Amino acid sequence: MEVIQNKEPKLSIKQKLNATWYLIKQNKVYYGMLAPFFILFFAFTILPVIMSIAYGFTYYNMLERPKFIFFDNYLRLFLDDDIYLIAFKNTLVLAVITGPVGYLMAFVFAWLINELPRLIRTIMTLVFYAPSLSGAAYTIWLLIFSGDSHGWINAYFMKWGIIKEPVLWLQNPQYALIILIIVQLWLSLGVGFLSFIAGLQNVNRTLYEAAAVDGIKNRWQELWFITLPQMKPQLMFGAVMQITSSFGIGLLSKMLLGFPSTDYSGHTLINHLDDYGMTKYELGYASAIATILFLFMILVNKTIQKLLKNVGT
Amino acid sequence: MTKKKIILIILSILLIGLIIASLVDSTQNIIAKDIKQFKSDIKTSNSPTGYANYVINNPKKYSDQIAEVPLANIDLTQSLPETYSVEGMEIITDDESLITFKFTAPKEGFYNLELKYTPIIKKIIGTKEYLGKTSEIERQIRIDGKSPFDEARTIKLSRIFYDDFSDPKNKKFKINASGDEIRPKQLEKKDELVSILIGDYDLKITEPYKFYLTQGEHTLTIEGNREPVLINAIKFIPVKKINSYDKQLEIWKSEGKQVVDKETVVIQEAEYMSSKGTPVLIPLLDSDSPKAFPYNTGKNTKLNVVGIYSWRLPGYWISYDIEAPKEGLYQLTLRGKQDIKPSSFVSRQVKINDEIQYEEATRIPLNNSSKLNNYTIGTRENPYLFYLKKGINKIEFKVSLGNVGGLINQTKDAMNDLNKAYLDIIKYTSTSPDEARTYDIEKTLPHLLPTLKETKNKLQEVVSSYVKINNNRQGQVSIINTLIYQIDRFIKNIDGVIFELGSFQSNISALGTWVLNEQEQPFTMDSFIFHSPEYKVRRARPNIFETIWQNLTKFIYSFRNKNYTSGKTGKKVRVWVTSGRDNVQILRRIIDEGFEKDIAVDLELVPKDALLRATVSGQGPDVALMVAEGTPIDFAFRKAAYDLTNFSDYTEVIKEFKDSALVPFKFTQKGHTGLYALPEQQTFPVLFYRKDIFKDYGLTPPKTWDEAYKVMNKLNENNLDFFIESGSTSLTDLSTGGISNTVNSGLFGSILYQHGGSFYNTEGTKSALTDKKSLDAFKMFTDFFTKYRLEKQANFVNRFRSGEMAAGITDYQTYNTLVVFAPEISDKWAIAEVPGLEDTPEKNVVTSKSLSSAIMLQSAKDKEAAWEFMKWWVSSETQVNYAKELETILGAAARYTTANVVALKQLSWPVKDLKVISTMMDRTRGIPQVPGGYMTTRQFTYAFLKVVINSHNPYEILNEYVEEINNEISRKRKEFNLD
Repeated sequence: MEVIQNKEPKLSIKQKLNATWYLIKQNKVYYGMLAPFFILFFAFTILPVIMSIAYGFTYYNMLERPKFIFFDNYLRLFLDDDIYLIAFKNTLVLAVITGPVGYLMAFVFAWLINELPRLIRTIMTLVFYAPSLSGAAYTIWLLIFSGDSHGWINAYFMKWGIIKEPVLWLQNPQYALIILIIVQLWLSLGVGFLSFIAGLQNVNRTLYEAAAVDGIKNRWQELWFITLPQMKPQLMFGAVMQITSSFGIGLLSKMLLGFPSTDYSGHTLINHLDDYGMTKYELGYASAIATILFLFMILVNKTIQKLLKNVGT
Repeated sequence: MTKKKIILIILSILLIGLIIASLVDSTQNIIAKDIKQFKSDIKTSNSPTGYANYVINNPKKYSDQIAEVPLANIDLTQSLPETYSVEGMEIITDDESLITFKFTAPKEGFYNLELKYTPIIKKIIGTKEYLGKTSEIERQIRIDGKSPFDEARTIKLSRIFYDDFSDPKNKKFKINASGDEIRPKQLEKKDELVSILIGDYDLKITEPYKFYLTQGEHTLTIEGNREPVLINAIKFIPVKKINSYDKQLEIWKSEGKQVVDKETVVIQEAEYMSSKGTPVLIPLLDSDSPKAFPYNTGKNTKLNVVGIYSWRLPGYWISYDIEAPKEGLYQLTLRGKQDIKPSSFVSRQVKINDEIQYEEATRIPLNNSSKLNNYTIGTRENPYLFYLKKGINKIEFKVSLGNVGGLINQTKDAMNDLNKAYLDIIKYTSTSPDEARTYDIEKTLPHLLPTLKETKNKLQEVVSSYVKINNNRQGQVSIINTLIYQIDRFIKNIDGVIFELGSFQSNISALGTWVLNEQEQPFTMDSFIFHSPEYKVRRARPNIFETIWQNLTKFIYSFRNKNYTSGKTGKKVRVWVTSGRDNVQILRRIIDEGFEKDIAVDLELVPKDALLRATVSGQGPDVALMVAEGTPIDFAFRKAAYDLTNFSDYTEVIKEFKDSALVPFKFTQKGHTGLYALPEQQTFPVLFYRKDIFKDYGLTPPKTWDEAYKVMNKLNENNLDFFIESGSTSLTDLSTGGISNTVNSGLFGSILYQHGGSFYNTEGTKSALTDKKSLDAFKMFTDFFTKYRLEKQANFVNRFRSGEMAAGITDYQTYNTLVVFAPEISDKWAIAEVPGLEDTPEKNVVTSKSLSSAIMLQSAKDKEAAWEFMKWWVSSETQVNYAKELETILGAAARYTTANVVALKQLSWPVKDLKVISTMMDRTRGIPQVPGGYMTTRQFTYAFLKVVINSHNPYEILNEYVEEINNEISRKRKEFNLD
């Protein structure tokens, strides 16, 4: 079928809508083919986002009808919620540290592993990917950091004489963020890491030869000018995944440090959202938090995209 | 010929081959192993006061005369008359009874003890009520005031149960509305006289106990441990000798008994039992074996086997009445499978007409087989014969420990010794010894080395015997080998013990688990057949087509939607349960049987968090059961829970509950106090303590905190611990619960209430934690962890098991865990009341630990019907039924912690423990729920951690943290327009 082009640029809104509708009718086969995905995407991704933004302006306790309260939630959030500030700070610290470090780690490990012979590479990939593959693998850290004198760290530290009596690692606010960062980094060799490996495999080998002829001097140059530009899509994908996961730390804190963690020391935005949504039944307020988090993620995402454009130049 | 043709021909040859192969009888009669060669050398425990030594130490004389024990001849000096009632020639004894009879033995020598008894369900004599609780009866036997051997301290007597068939004559199972056979209810036989020879219930010792009596006057004392029982007659009779199979066969031959002819065969389906010793043995469904009968297509459930995992504990017996067409000698084939215990065998004892026909029948080994199999009893060349008389024969199968019984006893002995050795070591070195220091262990603990050497020998004997029995398989005993190597290292260098304490302890625990696993003897039985040697037993293995067909039909029927509504018409209630599948099935059955209000009950199993979401979207149920403590009031604030005081008869219903179970569901709003849920389960703390360790140090369970401090100090001196639940462990628990207004602060609540304080002011508008009383309580609570250095976090059950924590205060539900998972210390611990500020009921209170409840949603359509259902569900009768069923199917670990006071007293707790539990229930106080109450747990825990981690001043810290609680409460009160 022929796609009909819109030729006249100056039209009123009504005319424009009519024209669009006409075009849709003309190309209904394509829209039909698009529909299954679009309907699902709209119903389960776009609609909830819009609803959440809308609920952000209401008081809603789940069991009674929502009441419209305009900007009250946001005012309270920014001016009258100390814990929000703690959560925001924690999220930021976690994201800033685990995001880039995790991302770099994933890439470096992928790059190193890629150099290995095939069999060993497969095994190593599995070894590094395993923690994020099995969903609740972090429970092992509960054992390691257990406050019991039989907990692993406590037991060994006491044996070596570093500490005299068991330390409540997970309950002590001093250690909360550090533990979260360690575990999150351990978990960060996830999907991004896999996509990096795939990307490295995809690089056209002939380019290296050509580059060698053209005068590439060392592996770093090769990496920067050949390898990285060749795997930009994977880099982008990895970055998006990394952002989502490092801003989305919440369950980890809940499982390791308890919910809420002592003095909110490991409280993240996701935890804060949970707290209002599931404990206090203040869905409107929780939605406002979610909206802020959402906007923030988009902002970071845009920035990263900009940065990645510069790769290889 | 083309390539295609060749392939085609090969394929068709393969196919034909397959068909032929599957048509050929694929039955493999795995004949039970040759029994004789497996007789283990170790007979029983070699404790000096054990049965084995008792037999050896007495002269080998056997009496051939009967010594009757006249029941009228009571020795009142050694009896407690108020604990039993004499009725005619019989005596009813209660669970704490003590009664002694005088009797004369006509001749010196060994006797068996024959007891005729009747289990009691309910009996009232005069003013005394005897109430059975469906658990095993337990008695102690003493002769001349002394226990003859250790085993006589726990003589278990079984009760008798049967299935509730819809048609008892033809044995048909009841069928529910959707056409499925339902598991029959387990009923107890009334006034059933049982005659037994006293022996080991678990069959670790396969012969009945022999008691040695000298000629002349004796006394026999029977003391109750558990359950009432009616004693009909007691007799000492000559020891019955059981022949070996070969000898018995000769006797039969000389008596002219014939092997039956080919046509004579008796087939009995295992699911149709006549009676059994425990209600756990219910008919079950095996849908994996196409050749099990009746065959399950998946369309309708047909119960076809007994066993699976339920028929596994020693002493569990099933009996069948079968009709033999002819008298004579038969072979016996069991059709079943043993698919749970890998590369090992299980044992059964076969009794025919209450008699063990020959020694080999006491321990028939059944090999591992993942598929249904025909097990013909006997050796491969020479299957055993059994004698049946013409007419009705009673066949009894009993789980026996067979040859491993002695091994298990010996391992247990070794484990006890090791546990004691471990305790001795840590009492001296503590669990985390200073590695730089030299402990002269040999000098301080001189007995340690000999003990270790002895246990090592014991364990080595176990390993060599076990490997012999089990076809040289070493894998099963690897844990014992590990332990032997470790002990070996200790023997070579005893001071090295301190480097390996942790692994030593975990190895001992692993040994305990090994013993537990070895004791389990699971077997699934589909049917059994008495037949002649020529008879060809029906194939047990399906051919390939049968397997394919079965899987196909199963798959197709799996799409069928099973209708869960009860078949009744009229009104309807929609009920949601957020519990396990088993619980729902039990509930379903109880509703089908007991709820007769002409109201249909639509029972649905939902995940925990579904209630809120469904209520939001208007899809919620009318009634929700097993709801967490905080939920009712949370829903009530938001006008989603229905106020039960609207029903005029609610005062009647709540009479069966303590106020402590109702407080969290009450809420006062605009001068009216509403009740928004009915309680189901309630738990509260009790004190657990190790009797053996307390005895060693001359300690008694503390009644007051001053005494408790002394106990803590004494234990601390010996590197042992006392456990008190701190709030910090509970905070993590919240992550699974989600919503909760419940105050969760470990034992703090109890201490607070003992001081006369409370969490909130009477109106619930402010926190009361800044009161003087509360501050004192907080100081006292934090002192446990700072001054007395108790562990803030610990796995209490594990450490209690090893003895490192000799006492602890925790949820009484832990009792069940300990019973099931720590059998090796079963007689070494007890429970007691929680200490108080003073030992008076007012000063010795605790706060409840957890509650679950039933709520009615505001949106319920038919509120009267829903109320009827709720009333029925929390009533003592239903709660007892439910609790018993639960324990029947899920075992003792699932003992139900009902909040119903009347029901609690009818559950199968041992009397002494029930006393403690009911006392503590009386002393339990409920914590009210207020809007924003979740802040209390949170802020309390933060304050607590500040004190114990950063050593802040408790008074200042609490004051500081309470502010946030008050803020949250007033914010929430404003939100709900409560002021």
